[in-house]
Amino acid sequence: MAKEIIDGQTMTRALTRITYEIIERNKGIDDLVLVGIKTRGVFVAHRIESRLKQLENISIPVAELDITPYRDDMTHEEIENINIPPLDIDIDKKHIILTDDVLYTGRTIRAAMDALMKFGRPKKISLAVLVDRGHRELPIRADFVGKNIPTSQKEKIRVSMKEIDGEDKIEIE
Amino acid sequence: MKRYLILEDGTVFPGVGFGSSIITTGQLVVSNNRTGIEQSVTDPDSEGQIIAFTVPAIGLSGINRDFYESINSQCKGVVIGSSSSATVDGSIPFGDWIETLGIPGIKNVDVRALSKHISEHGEMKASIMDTHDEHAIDQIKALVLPPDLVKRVSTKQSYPNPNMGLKMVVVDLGLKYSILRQLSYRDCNSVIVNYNASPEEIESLHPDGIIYSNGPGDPTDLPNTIENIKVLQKKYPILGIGLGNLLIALANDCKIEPLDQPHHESSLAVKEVASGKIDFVNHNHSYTIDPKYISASDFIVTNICVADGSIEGMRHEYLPIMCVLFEPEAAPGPTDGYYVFDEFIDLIGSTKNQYGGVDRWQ
Amino acid sequence: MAISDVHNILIIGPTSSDKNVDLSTALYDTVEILHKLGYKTSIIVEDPTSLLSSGEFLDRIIVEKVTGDNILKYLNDYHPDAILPTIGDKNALGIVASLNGKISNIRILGTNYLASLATFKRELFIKRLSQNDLPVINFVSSDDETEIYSFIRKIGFPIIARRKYSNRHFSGWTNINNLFELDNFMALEELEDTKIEIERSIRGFSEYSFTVMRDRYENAALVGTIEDIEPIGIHHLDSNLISPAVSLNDSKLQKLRNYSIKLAQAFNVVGACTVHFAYNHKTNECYITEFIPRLSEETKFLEYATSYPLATVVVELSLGYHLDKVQLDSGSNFNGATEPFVDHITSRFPLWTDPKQKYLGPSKTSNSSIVVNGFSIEEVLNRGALNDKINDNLERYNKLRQLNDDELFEKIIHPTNWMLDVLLEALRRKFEIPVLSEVTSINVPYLVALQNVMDNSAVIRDDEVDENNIERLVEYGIKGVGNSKLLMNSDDIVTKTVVKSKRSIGASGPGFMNHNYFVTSGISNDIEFNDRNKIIVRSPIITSKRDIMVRQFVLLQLVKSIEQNGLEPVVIGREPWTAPLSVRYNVLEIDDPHREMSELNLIPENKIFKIIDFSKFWNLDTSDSDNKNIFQINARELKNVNIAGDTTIKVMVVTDGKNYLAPSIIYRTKKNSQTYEISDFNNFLSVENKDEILTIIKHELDLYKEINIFNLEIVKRNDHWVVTKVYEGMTEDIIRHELASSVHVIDTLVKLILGNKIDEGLNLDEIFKNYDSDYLVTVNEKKFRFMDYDEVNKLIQSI
Repeated sequence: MAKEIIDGQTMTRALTRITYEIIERNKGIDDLVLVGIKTRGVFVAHRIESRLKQLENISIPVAELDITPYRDDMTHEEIENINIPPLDIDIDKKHIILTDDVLYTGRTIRAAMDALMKFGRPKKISLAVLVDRGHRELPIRADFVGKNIPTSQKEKIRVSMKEIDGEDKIEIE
Repeated sequence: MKRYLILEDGTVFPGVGFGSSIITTGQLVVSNNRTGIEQSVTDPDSEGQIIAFTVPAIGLSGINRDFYESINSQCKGVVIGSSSSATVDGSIPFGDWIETLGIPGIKNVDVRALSKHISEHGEMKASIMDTHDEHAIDQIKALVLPPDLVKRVSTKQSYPNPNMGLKMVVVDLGLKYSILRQLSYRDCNSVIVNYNASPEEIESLHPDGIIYSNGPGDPTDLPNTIENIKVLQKKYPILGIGLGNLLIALANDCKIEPLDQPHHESSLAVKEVASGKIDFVNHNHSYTIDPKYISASDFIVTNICVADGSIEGMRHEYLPIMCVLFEPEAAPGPTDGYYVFDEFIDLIGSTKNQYGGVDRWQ
Repeated sequence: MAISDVHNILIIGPTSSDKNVDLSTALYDTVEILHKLGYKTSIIVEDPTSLLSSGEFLDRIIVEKVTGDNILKYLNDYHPDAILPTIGDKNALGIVASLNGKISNIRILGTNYLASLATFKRELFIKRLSQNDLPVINFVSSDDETEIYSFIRKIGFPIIARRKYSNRHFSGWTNINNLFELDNFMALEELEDTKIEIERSIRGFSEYSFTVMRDRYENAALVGTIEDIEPIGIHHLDSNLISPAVSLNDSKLQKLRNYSIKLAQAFNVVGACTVHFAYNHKTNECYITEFIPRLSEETKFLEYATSYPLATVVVELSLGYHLDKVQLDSGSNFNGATEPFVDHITSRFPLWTDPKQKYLGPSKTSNSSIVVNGFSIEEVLNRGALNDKINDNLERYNKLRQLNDDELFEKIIHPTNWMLDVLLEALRRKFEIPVLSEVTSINVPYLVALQNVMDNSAVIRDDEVDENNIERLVEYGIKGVGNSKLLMNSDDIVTKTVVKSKRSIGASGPGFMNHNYFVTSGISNDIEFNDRNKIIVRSPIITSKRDIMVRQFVLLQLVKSIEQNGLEPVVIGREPWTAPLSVRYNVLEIDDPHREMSELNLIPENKIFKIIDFSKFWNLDTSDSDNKNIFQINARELKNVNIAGDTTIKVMVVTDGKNYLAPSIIYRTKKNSQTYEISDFNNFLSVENKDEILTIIKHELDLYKEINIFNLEIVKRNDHWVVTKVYEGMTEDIIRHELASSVHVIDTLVKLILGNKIDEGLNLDEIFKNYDSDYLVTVNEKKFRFMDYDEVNKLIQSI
């Protein structure tokens, strides 16, 4: 039975707060690039970008990263032979902010960083997530977190976003 | 019995007196608050003011003494149109209540014409008296309103509002109790200090965050407080509300300017720039930040007033400072603004995080 | 911004039922803005004459019974992108609820399947509210005793209970206040398969109504609040209503506001959402009783009270516009993110056509209403419910005086539509206010207001008006001619609003570029007259829905015509006429329930070009003497001969006293027991026919040498025409006479009033020139169809 723990309004406020924090911690946002992971991470990136635009009147480029080819259980050869579509943005010397909806074990993020490294040499990579649910299996931490939600490993966190699910909310089941 | 509201420019509005029968003079403010007469009259912002309420049938909804925003009222006079001598919940009638507070009132005034006059000619001094001869008008013109409004309303002695959570120091520039209610609701352990409290005094209280409240008067009258802000903002997260916001702006090389039409309304729309969301909040201020200087400063604009485009909220780009010009604690008015307090607590939390503090679960 | 893939909208229009709210102005505003914004619109209506002037903005009018099947048929035939049900009253919501799953990707604007269904199915409504932590009255429907008693233990007394029989019939609700009454109820005989339904009783709670506007981006504004003087138990529209809800203090107001916004969110209503509350001021209990996700009587009332352009904003929000970036038809931006502030009280008093006393209950019985304004409750009572010129209160007073105390008390316990008069009489007999409040559940301040009114009436009746108490009388809205003169002579008195004028929505004002001044001014401090000559149109109180629609149409056309001819229209009505949004700038509307405008001489005589008086049209009283400046529109019957015939012709004639124009003819004939009525028949008349008719007209109207409109009815008997009826003035037929012709008649009339003359020597074609391109054909009074020239010709051949 899914239970709503974060409603739409709280979610949008969390995104606004992440945006303020991004501005606070970077003196100048000119070299920022937002890279959104898979499906919902991309919407998170776009929403942050639109807020940055409203506040600072600067357009930050947003790219999409599909890391499904990079599954954790693939062998080294399989990874070498994968054809990934390149990002359409130059990421050299840029500060990348990776965005995703939920941070759990950290393996998705590691795969994302692997992919990014293939495309160029960014100056810095930071991580922004909507939800951090704990249980990291790799030494990865988020720089910007919307909400920290402690969960047991049996529970599932489900994020709904207006762009694709029709409404904004976060449920736990 | 017949009384008159006489304005500085000589305009006379006749009416019927009620409440206290003393003669009074003050700065006339026209308030469009739909409800919440109790809050408005006990709001320390009303120090030295004669408030004209334009809503009809005042008093019908009853007087609730739990809604007081300060212990004593500093309001100088009350001007209303129509009123009701009976209340819907059996509480004390409006006229009697005003009398127990010792405030003079005048009713059956044509508040519509008054409101129109003030919007055309600006806020001015006024007096409630029993005659309206030449002499009376000269008296008003000659009267100088006291300049040290904040000094009068700020608490002389520090006092606590204890709880178990974050430690907040609230600098009392004329705060409304509802700010403390909102902090209590969020478990904040608050200490309220005088407007002139020194940085050392505040630091000795080990605050997690400092709040500068709303208050009456002109922000340029408080140079000492402004200097204190310059010191404290380097070390602590700060929230500025209303007058507090203006002081913080002045402490950071921004300029302020008076509004064309002062905002005195319990429900005026404010837009959050980042998300485009519109909230309805309580406004009680006559000044705003001059937008020409904002882009050069280190502040970003976070909220604007939908009606006239003026700045209603700002945030420092890298220091943990956030400010709003409206009154997020409402009282009276819609509660859409409560989120400001949550945002300030988030700000404190993330500041701690950055410096290796404890991760807080919200 | 606006939803990009909607270009074509189907509007579910009103049915012909008389029970429905008259939303013709809202409909006009809606289709006008859609048209101006570039959308293609079509509408399904049962009776196209109910569209009146809105017709010019619509791309297609489908005349069919407004049912789910017909809508589905239309959707399959024409594939619009979206449906708009918000103007179609309850019927439209019912259709939306029934269309679920059948319309694939056609959008529903404003409301949605869930919200519409919830207005009919109480279980769904309750479930959704409970899920969202909104206060709703719980109820149980069960035949299991354990369940029933457990429920009663949980909610406590007082409760109401009824039985639901297996044939889906219900017994009436019984009030149960204690265990004794409960035992009695439960002990009654039970049939097989009977369920018992129990609900918390909210009888005696105060009733409030909040209307919220919400856009697709979660921005919501509280547009208006209404409170009922009478408590729950009397239908909302049979109660006397007051806006804003002055009896709510800040915390109650914000609580209900938050609930209303949350409900709109819970059902995802975009546009207007009206929520009804039951509130108990003693216990502070609060329940949501129903919600209305469409335009309604409440939104119509609030649009007048606050000047907020509800109808226009509702349709734009449902199309995806932001609340603060709405467009008015004049192309200007409008900031809809305002919670309108009103500095006076607007009140709606229901009216009944039957003058006898009637018992009131949860079902609506009133036929129409009157809306008045004032600064205090006493003032609105004096102008509205206790206004002798409207309600015959003196008569009522006389009747009530004859009742003894017990009989009077019975009328208090069982509320009637004379409630306020009854209470006045009770107060006169020194019944105590707290007792009256306890019995009727009417809040004390209203009773005190009645007491004030009564005390002041005594002053007037005993002729004790002087400069000391005149001001208090003025404050209570008591104004008769004599008193007005007295107050005008004193230079110290505050002249409060005698009448209220509306010039609404300045889309920008000094200093506030986005702030909207909803100016509702009062004489003596606000009304600014310009220099133009004016034509004043006086309109009385109307009670029938049909007449209200006619009045809307006629006034709108008059105003437009007067404006176009260079003068300023001023409409003075005994009740307010809500002008459509686009016209509000051009006309000065003043409502004057006490008819004081003429005495106060506030519009300079030399600026009044003419007064057009409708009072005689609707046959209500008018106390005007013979004034050359007043053009009376009478609907006076000049001739009525009882001759029947199978074929009749109705002719509308406008004359300047010498020459005639007959732009519209309706032809009616019977064949094979079907009756056919064809409008704009001018183009199908032969030259001989036209000549014959013109001769008849000249003959009948020979005696009348003034500017006027006449309606003649001619019957064909034995191959020649006989005049059976002649009416002077505009009759209800003006809306049957098809739109373009009617507009033309009104415009011609205005031009004639301004001094123009009908050209001499017009030929037959010019006299009978008709301006419509579609012909409305009605079969058996029920089936309406639009046909073009050829189709009508074919029809005529066949009959």
